[in-house]
Amino acid sequence: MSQQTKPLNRRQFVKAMAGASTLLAVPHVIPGSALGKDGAVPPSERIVLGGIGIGGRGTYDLGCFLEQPDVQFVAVCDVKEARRVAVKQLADQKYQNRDCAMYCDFRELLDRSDIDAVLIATGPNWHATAAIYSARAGKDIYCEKPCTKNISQSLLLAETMRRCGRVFQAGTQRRNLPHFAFACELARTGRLGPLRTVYAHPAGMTTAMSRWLPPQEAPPIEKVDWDMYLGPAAWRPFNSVMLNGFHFEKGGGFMGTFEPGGQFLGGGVLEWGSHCVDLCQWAADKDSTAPVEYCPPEDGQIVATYADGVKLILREKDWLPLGSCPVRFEGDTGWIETGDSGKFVLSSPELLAGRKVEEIGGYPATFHVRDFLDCVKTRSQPKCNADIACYSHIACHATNIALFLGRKVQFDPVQHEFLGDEQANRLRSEAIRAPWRI
Amino acid sequence: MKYLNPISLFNKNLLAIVKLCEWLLVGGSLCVVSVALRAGDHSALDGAIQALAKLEPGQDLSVLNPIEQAVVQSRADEQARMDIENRLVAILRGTATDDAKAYACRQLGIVGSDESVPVLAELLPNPRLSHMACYALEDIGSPAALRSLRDMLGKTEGREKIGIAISLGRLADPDAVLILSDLLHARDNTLAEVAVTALGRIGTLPAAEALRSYAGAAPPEFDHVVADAICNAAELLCRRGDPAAAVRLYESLQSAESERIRAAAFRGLMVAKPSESIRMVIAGLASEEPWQRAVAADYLVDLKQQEAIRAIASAIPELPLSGKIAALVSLQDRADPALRAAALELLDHPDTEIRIHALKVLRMSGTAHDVTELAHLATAAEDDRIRAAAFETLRLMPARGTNQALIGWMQTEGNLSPAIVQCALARRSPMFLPVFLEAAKDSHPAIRIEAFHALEIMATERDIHTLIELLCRSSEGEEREAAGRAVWISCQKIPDPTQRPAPLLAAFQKADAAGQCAILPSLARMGGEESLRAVHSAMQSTDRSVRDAGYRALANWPDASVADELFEIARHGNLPAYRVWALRAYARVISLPNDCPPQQTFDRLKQALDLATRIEDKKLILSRFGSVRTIETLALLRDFVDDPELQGTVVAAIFEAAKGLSQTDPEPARAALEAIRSLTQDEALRQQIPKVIQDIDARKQDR
Repeated sequence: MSQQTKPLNRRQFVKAMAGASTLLAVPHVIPGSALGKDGAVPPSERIVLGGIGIGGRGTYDLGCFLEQPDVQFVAVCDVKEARRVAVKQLADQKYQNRDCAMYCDFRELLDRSDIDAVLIATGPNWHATAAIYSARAGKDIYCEKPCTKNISQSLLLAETMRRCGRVFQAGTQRRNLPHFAFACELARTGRLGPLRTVYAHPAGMTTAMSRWLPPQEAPPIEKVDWDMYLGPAAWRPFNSVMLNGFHFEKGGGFMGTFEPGGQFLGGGVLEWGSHCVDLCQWAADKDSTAPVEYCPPEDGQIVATYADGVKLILREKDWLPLGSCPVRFEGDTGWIETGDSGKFVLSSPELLAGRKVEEIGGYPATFHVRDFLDCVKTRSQPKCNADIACYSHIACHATNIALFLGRKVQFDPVQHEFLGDEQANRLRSEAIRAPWRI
Repeated sequence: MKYLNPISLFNKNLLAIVKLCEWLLVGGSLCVVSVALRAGDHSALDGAIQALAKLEPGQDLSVLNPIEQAVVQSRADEQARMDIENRLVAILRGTATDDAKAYACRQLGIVGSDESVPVLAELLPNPRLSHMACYALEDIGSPAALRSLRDMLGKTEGREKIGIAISLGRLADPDAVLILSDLLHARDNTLAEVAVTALGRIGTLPAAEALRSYAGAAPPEFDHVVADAICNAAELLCRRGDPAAAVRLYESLQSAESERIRAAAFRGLMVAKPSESIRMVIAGLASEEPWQRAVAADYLVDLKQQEAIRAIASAIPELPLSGKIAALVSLQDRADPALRAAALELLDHPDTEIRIHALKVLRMSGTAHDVTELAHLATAAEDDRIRAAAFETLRLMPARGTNQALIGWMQTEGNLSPAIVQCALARRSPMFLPVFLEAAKDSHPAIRIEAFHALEIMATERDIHTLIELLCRSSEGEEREAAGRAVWISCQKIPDPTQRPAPLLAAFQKADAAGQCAILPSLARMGGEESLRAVHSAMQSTDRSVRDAGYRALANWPDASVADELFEIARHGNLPAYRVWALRAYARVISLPNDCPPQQTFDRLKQALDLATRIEDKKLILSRFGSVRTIETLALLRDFVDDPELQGTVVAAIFEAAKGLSQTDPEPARAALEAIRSLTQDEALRQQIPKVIQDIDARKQDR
């Protein structure tokens, strides 16, 4: 059977247009609004980068950026003075100067016209809001996952990137690792036969409401800007556990909480789902849609179903020992399972068909960062652009809503609404705290 | 004494009555259980509401679970919904902590109605809870909720006022236009900016008018915000059936200084004036302004009408170079005869880029009649980019009759080439199988080799005997390797694993010496007892060539079942060559993935290393240590790292072993990697070592 040519989606179109980039040197995604830097032309040589919210994960990401020869990191923004200073030292040491500027308010960093792109590695609470502000300021964006807190934000993020003609890369770096890409390719090209089921590991199948912790005396604002840390999230009194908690408002929306001692309650499937569900969406060729039905957990697994009947199953057990973040794709004639070890298991060696797939364990982000930087230069869209992230996040949010409501929900991925369930529909969005607005 | 809320008591009784009716109707005993459970739920809910009234930050929230259960379960039960809403409203009216009230607001966001609006409105001026009140009011979203937001806009200041204005915008309240218009001139820039955005989101005629009037007076730093809001309003007006108003708005932006604003206006105008869109697209594509071309091309992607596509296709020849490319890129996924005609004409264009994009257009719009031209370009075009583009088009073209046309072309004398075999293979159609089998007999070795590569993927178990015949006739070297692989893969397609060697064994018994030599490598790769017997018989042959092939076959064995025999030959084999083959094979098979403890593999590899005398054998054995992920491996390899002849191999092996240990024994792995960091001359390794170190360090952080 010959492989059919499929209609271009927007990302492919943008990429195709980039092929003609000598002739079309302006951003190829057309701004429907008038935001961003006028006449911004991507720098041909060096990409000037700023960092927003550079903690543990952000420092790792930044390391991947700093090793790229065409990146110049010039500014850091963090609500914590200690982080600002640490990152400045890192950058200054790298460049042997004292040039890295420090900001507490990211809007000041975005005001700098010399900055082309930003790395956003704040807590998940800020991701979408900071990304949208950055896009409107004309910056390209590498944003850690999970990128959004709810369905509404996911759509708005994609729409903003499209309008502003920005390059956006979600920090779901597994799309740029060869073994995951190979697994998805087998599924997408029909080598497994008609695809029936894709499996994802959610790393958590509970949801919980956002909450407060006991008030503590807040540090001086120059040390920690607590109000800025809370940002778009609901106000609550200062608490150091929350400040340093990895999971503050992770999972976002109505979910996401933090318990003293680090116990993770909120977020549901969004933690790993933003990786694993994203890979399943890719494998099932569903990058521009989401499942239409979501069932609450039964026998340790959540089953979501796409319009064509393909099942997305989230389960925490019964995986082969292939490392964290495993996925499995099953078709009528074969299957493949892989994970963070870089190894994969095939139903039949024939599926390899002479291919050599590089084994890269440990989910490095270097390739993903490079993909982003290349796209910044060519004005094409990277592997995990905003349109793709939008729907993989929507799939996770809708799953979380089914989890929270404890009942089956049906979702229309075109109108972006749940069918006959007002409660579920109300959970699609949330007000963010003024003066922040998106 | 437990306090009983009269409303809840009533509701409880009402629910019981309803459930009783259900039971009477359906006669199911389960309903009795349901009533009992519901009564239990209410007592739990009472407790949870009491806990919420006294909630302090940091308390265990699990005591509130019955509230969330009640909220979720109230979906199909209006009485239950009213009950829980009333209880939550009571919390907001009472003396509960702000934490508790914030929690109540979240729940009201799910179950709240107009009954909740007054108490939520009262919270709007409260700096700690204003946002949470907006949260609930936005979700309620009723006219009463909007009215309360409008009322409170004038009664609040600062952040709270800003939050309310944002909510009015998010809810697109048409009755808020006047009060928001007043805010356009607020001294607080944030408030003014929020009002601009809110008016754009409302998008009614009055809102649009307010924005247009304001645009002239707005400070320059607001240009983009205002233009964005105007575009939002125009899009909404268009959607609501007033394109004329949208056109006026877009036209007001056409003279903006900012290129982006003009681009947005141009795009908007094409949407708002569909009757003129084709003319505008063609004009845009013909423009010298890159932004206009890009807007037109982008619009073209979404253009669906066939007559529009045809009109633009017929205009392509007149467009400038850049416009041609933009149009071809935008239309490359359309199947249309007019496009095909335009693309075929452009295949003779002097510009390579144009020809490449024309070839891409043919992927969808090309027909079987174009196969000859495409095949010719894919195999004989001078420019390799043209060859690649034609190849891709041939590979992907879905037009009916494409495969037959390509087969016809391949069967015409003089047309067969490795490239066209690759191209046919890329279509993955079983129709090509007879052509590949024929190509495997071609007089040109390169074509035969390519045909075997294709057969490796496309042949089935039905073709095995033909393939074995071809294998026996194949020339030694690359061709035999390819033929052998095709045979082996085809045998793997036999469903019963025990039957897989059978065709080769049967052929082996009948073959002459040359045929046996050809078959033995594939047979050995099958493994199994019968294959091994055949290999042993070859090793005893009086014919030197068959004997050599037998020893080589044993050295090619796929698993460690022959490890002891190989070790014995490595130590006492008749000929030095046999000893070398066996030693190398021994090192390979014992270090294949296995269930043995790593220490056992380590010991056996060390035995092999002791036997090795030649430097290349030492290198091979040391390299296999890389798969043995133990601390001892790192220590052993370190002993060889200073040997200049072995250093490259040893460093690579250390890297592999350390990488394998990086998750289980990160510290020793890290130390080993640090030690080899400065030693490697391999650029790829030089780049990978710090990455693995970085990953080890990162693993301590967030995942």
